[in-house]
Amino acid sequence: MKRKIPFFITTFVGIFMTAKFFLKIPFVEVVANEIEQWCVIIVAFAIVLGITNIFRLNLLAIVRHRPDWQYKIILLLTFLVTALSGFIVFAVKGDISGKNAFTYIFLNAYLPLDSTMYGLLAFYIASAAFRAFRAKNIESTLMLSAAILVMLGRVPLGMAISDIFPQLANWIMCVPNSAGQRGIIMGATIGVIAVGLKIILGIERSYLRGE
Amino acid sequence: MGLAYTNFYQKILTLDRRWIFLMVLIIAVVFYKITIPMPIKVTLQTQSFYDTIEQLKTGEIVHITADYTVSVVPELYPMHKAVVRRLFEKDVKIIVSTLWTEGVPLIDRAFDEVCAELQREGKIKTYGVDYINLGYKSGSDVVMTRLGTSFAETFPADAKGTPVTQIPLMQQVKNFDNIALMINFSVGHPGIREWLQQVQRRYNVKMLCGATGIMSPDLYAFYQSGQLKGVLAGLVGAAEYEILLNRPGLANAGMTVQSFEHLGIILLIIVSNIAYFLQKPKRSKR
Repeated sequence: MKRKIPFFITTFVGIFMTAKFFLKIPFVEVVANEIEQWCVIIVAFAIVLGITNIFRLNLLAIVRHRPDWQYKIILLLTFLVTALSGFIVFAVKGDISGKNAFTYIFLNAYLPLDSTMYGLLAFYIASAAFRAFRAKNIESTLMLSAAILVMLGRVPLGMAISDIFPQLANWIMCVPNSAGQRGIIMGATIGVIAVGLKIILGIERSYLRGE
Repeated sequence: MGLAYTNFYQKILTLDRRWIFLMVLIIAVVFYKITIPMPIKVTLQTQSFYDTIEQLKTGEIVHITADYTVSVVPELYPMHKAVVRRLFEKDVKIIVSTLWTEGVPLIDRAFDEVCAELQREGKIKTYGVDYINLGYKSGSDVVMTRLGTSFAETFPADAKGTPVTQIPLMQQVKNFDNIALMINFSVGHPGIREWLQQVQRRYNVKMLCGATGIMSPDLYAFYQSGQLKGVLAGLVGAAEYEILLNRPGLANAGMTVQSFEHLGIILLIIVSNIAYFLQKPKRSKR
């Protein structure tokens, strides 16, 4: 039963969702719409599960003094402060938009911190480019040349130097890049169709604990 | 003498990465304050994006999906804000939703800033009549297909918790049949790829996309196939759009820094390759 019920649910959902995409049959649409509604509700539970897990794992790490347990205190405290500010504001005002404690934390603490994390990419990309982009053979030379042309052609400085740079950058993006992307997309899509069919037909059962 | 040169090249090739970090930092700090006027050439993808919005008629409804997180605010927010402002100027009505938890405050921020700007110019936009923030909904691809059936069933209430049945703008919208254009600001999954797969062809929705520079190479194929009517590719795409609107803003302000950071990286690549080649014959002799 442990395997049969999940397999039945998967096949049932898979058939109706696929049928809804291709057929305009009222009965199929009604069932598929109901499945979608259930799916939205079930996915919402994943958030609750995620929050519970964060608490459980980090509390355990703090209690058992695992490596970096001090940072986990900060994590839980910031989580609680942010969440509570949102709940309190919502309870008092009825919505969390506008100027309040929650949006203050979000815009003045979370936003700059997360943007900084993303901004660090520029430093690592510069360092990686310095070490990795070496014209060791024809393939790497081609990649290196394409990278330089696109980097120069996609910024106003390149456009200021010569009109050729934006034209070349656009050609690289629209012709070789698009051709490669199409190949990848089509290959991956055929793979997804094959895996989807195997799951619906019960040939692929690795999602049932690998059995 | 030869050995000294080899050591010098070796030093360059094994340069401590902290020097590179310092260079990137100096460029960012210096060119943050200095703006050097440079020409911005508008690409075909940005021009199509602009033209598609310009073709909208007064009173038509646009669905914006702000599927991005705060980490990419410097890159995507300028285009988000510029688009919202242009749509309001054209008296187009806007419905915004997000599939990313962090999207909701960013949607509010864009509306608040644009509405305040317009108010100073004597133009008032009313929540629920001219625009609405439907907020966040978990469920990724399923939410997308649900919207094809019913907006009201997928988002029974807006981000403030008001039932959509009480919101005048939502009375005009049942599903994608009532949406003149969809604009997605995308950073990953769920994002534009999923909207294209689940919604564009199935419901025949006209679609535009603004994406991060990293994501944009994936989208050129969809632009060429006509599934996307226009693409704003990264901060430079937003800057091009601001130029077309004749209103240089946040994106244009970042162009000098981005230009010189790119130049810095290109110079680093050239220097490392020169050092590599000058050192190479000596290595082969050995």
